[in-house]
Amino acid sequence: MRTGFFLGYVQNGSEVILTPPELLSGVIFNGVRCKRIIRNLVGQLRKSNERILILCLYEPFAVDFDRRLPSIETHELAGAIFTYDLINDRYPGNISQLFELRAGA
Amino acid sequence: MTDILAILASCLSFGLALDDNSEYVVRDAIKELASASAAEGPVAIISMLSQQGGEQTFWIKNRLEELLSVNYIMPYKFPENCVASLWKIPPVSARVAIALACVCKFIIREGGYVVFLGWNFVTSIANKSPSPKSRLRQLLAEMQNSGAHVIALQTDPMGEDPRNQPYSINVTEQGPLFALHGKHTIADVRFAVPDLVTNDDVTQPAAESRKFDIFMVVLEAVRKYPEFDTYGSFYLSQSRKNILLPTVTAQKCTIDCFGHTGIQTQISMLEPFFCTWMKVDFTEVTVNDRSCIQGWSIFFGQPVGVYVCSGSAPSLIVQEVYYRFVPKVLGRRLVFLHLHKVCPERGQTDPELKSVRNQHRNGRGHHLF
Repeated sequence: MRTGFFLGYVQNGSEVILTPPELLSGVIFNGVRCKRIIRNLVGQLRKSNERILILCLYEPFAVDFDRRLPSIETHELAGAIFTYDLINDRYPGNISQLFELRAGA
Repeated sequence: MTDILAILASCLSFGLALDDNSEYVVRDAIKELASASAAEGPVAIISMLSQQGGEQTFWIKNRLEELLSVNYIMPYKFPENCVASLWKIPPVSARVAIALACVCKFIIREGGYVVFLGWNFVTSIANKSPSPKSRLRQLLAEMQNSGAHVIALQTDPMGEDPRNQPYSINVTEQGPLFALHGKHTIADVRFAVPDLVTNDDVTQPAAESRKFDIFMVVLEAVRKYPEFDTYGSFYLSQSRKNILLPTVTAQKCTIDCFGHTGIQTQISMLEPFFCTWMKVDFTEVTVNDRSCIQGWSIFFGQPVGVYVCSGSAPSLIVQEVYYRFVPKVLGRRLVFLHLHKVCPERGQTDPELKSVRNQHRNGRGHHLF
């Protein structure tokens, strides 16, 4: 992303932008209403064709992010993590390797 | 079978359920499972778990035994962008382990953004005992050092250990505003971004809440149409109900509702000078036809956007009216009026609504308060 994420406006009308260098260290959002901001960030990310993985650890958030992105079942995700590559005697280190493993199977 | 094994494996290997030394045990077990037949593998795992012991072992062992009879075939497709509903995993430690495993194994090495919804669960693990705490710190450090873009949402800041807060940027909800705290940045975000409303969202149940801070759309429109006056109205979200607001006597205000299609509501307000949220008693406000108020619209000489709420128009009643004056933004003043609606029980007649309708029919449409 070239310009960063638009977070909102301050009182004088200037924009608040989260830039990638800031995001590299991560951002914590505190408060239920922050989910709206995150939904917007996800929307901006999608427009930028960024890879996004939403990990929903809390049930009430599920409906808030329903249909924002394709859903992946828990067993699929979990199975992907520890699918053992018997031929190469290793676990896949990333998704590409996982796809290779799946394709080979 | 693979799902429960993967949960088990990630849980153990990340040291969040048992101890840090369990990783190689599980890896050996899975390796053995991979080379064993479908029936023998889980048995081997159970056998190893029985020797290993631990609080989570009992649960996992039972689940494994339950799943032994299930002929499970896992179709697999890992999309580039996806939502993983990890809340379905009962043990919190396993839930967190899976989440961290996803980040460490995939996201970091391939780039992208990971969004944790429910960061509380992650930090709650670290608060329990020293072993998971150190392991969690190690994982978080790995995430940070690898350049992962992490966006975390937590809703329960109480009990949060600041030492487990690895990120330098915080956005905190403070009443109607949001505060941004960073190493080099501190700002009160008066108007946070709205949801990006799409056509599909209008039909979604959550669409109502997504219109929550729709005045951001007004702000954007102000920037786009600087030469026009700005009027706006929109519904107040249910979550606003508990906010304590001072009740004031309303200023000069005209509320015009026209048309019966239910989408056109124009609200104009004169002499704005407040810059805070206020509640106006409904008794002081009269709207000439409340049945029209079922959406919001923004006028800049001509409508630039109209959103329609779902539901039948006659059932809508304006219960409370809130308005907010925003000080000068880009050299102009903005006025927002929030309309909170309630839907009475089906079949009941609302005498007040009926009265207002009759008023409107009799030509006494405009009311001031």
